[in-house]
Amino acid sequence: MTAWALSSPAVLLVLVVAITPSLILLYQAFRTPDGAAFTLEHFERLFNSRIAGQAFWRTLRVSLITTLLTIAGGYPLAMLIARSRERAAALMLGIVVFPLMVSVVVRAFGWIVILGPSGIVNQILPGIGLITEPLALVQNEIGIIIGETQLLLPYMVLSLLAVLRNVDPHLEEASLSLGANPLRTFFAVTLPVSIPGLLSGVLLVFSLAITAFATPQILGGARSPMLTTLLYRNVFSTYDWAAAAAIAILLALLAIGFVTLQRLAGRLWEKSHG
Amino acid sequence: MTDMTSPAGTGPAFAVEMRDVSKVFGETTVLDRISFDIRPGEFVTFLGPSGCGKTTSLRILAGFEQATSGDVRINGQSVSDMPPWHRDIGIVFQSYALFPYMTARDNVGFGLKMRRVPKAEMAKRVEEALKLVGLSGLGDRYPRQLSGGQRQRVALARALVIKPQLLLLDEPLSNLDAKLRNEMRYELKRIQRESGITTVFVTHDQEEAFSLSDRIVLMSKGEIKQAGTSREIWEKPRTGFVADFIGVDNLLPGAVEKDGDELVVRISPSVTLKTEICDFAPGSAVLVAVRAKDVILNPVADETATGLNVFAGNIIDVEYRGERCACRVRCEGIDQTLVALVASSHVPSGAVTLSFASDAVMVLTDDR
Repeated sequence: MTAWALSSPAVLLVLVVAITPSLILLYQAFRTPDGAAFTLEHFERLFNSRIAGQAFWRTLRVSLITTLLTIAGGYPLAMLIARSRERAAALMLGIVVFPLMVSVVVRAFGWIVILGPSGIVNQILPGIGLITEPLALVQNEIGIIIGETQLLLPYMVLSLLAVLRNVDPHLEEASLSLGANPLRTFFAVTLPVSIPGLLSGVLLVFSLAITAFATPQILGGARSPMLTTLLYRNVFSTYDWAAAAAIAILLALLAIGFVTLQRLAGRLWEKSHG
Repeated sequence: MTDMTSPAGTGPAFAVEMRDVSKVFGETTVLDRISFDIRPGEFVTFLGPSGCGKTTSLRILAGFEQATSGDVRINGQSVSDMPPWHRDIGIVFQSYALFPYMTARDNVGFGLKMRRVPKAEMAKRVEEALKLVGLSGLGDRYPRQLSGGQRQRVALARALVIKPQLLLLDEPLSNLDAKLRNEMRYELKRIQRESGITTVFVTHDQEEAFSLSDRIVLMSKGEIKQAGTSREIWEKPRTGFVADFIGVDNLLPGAVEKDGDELVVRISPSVTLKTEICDFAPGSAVLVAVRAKDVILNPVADETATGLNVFAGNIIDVEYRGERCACRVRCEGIDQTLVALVASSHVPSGAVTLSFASDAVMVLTDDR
């Protein structure tokens, strides 16, 4: 009883700020505009909309590519930090985590300064004769992927690091001594033992990528909407709250589907390696 | 000195040659110009307290560390620029470092797989290796399903199955309990003899070192203090550090003096010790080492005892060591207490007389 009494403020808070809005959302998504009857018309509209379809696939594509890029960048970083001496490791970890302390919006504008039509990249590359036309690096998917990769890399590094730090460093040395070069050692030893960290990193990065808003809004522009930016447009531009609710539910289903996949993979790994 | 090969056809005279090998980390010198040779098939132990450089030496042999200077040759070939995966070296770590998601069989087969050995031959060699370490039938178990001793054997089989040029053992027995350790020690020796692979063993445990090794390299602070057979090191410690490390109980700092034609060692203003062999010039600061077993304890107090190496004293403590007891005796004019062994059945007390023969007095440099 005391446990219930003590947790009641927290339970109340969750009820008010999380459960209630979700219920309202569900209600709006499945009701006719006048609120009189149950309907699936908002979802029908969503599935028949070309823009919404594009936004869905773009969200999936951008999030998967971002996740793959954070894996590719996260492993070398996490391995380097895990193997460094204490002070160097703390310094590198600080550099990796530092961007988390800067506002997402500020970072997105930072990328515009670098990648924009008159940005640093587009001034340097023609200058050294590599390109003649300026590269379109923002206001499209490339911009979103670059921005989100940088945004989410720390989560992948931290997840991998949590596992790699506890791996016996002699494992890799044993593999090297048995004739496996560093690349084969990575795929035969390091990767398999770090699967749990990889799975949690993938879950974090992917779910943050599909729900990211500021980065696609600023770097993607109006021509490459993602589900989140489309949702925002429905709420604040077209005032179509029912369509926005339907998009929100689609996003939630996407997330739940992905979590289920991730859990399944985790269980499979546990079964074979325990 | 670099060309140490024997007449043509018999292969290199040494399996391992280390020439002036140094290792410096930042401002710390971990190894200071180590030179040492290992004959083919030999079982050599690097022995010393932690931080003495023994593990660094092993890691340089394995290729995990680069020597700052000096040359390392394995079977006559300089390996300074050879990465670990080309060296053909088997290693057993203290933590065993078995791949946790592989069965014992896959662990043992790993090195053969990397060498692209055909499947059928691989299966045969893995079974042979498992049999050699006494694990036939347990090949399908995962490391977590094996006991500490069994993991140890898998690690050993994994290192041996590739028929390495050199087997390196990094404190492989330290994680086992005392009974298992003795058993594995015997097993290790048997397996090494049967396989005939040149072996370097690293440990801080002198008992392990003395019982296993053909030769011991005793190290301290990055230097080799003494290298030799167990018997040589035990019977003739060359320095004060060695005597201290192997557990000589009575170590007394002193200075060499001339007494007529003879050299004696003054260990306090009123006491000098007579010795048979003294390689030091008068005035040298030395360390006198006398084994407790060489100290004769006479349970009768002889107040008039004045001869050389004879002291009157009082027993202040008795330490039970099984068959013998170690008596700690405070003697007139000597700062340190002396230790003598007596049979546990007749432990004296109170005033006694200590004496030892002059050839029991070892005069050594004080490099502790």
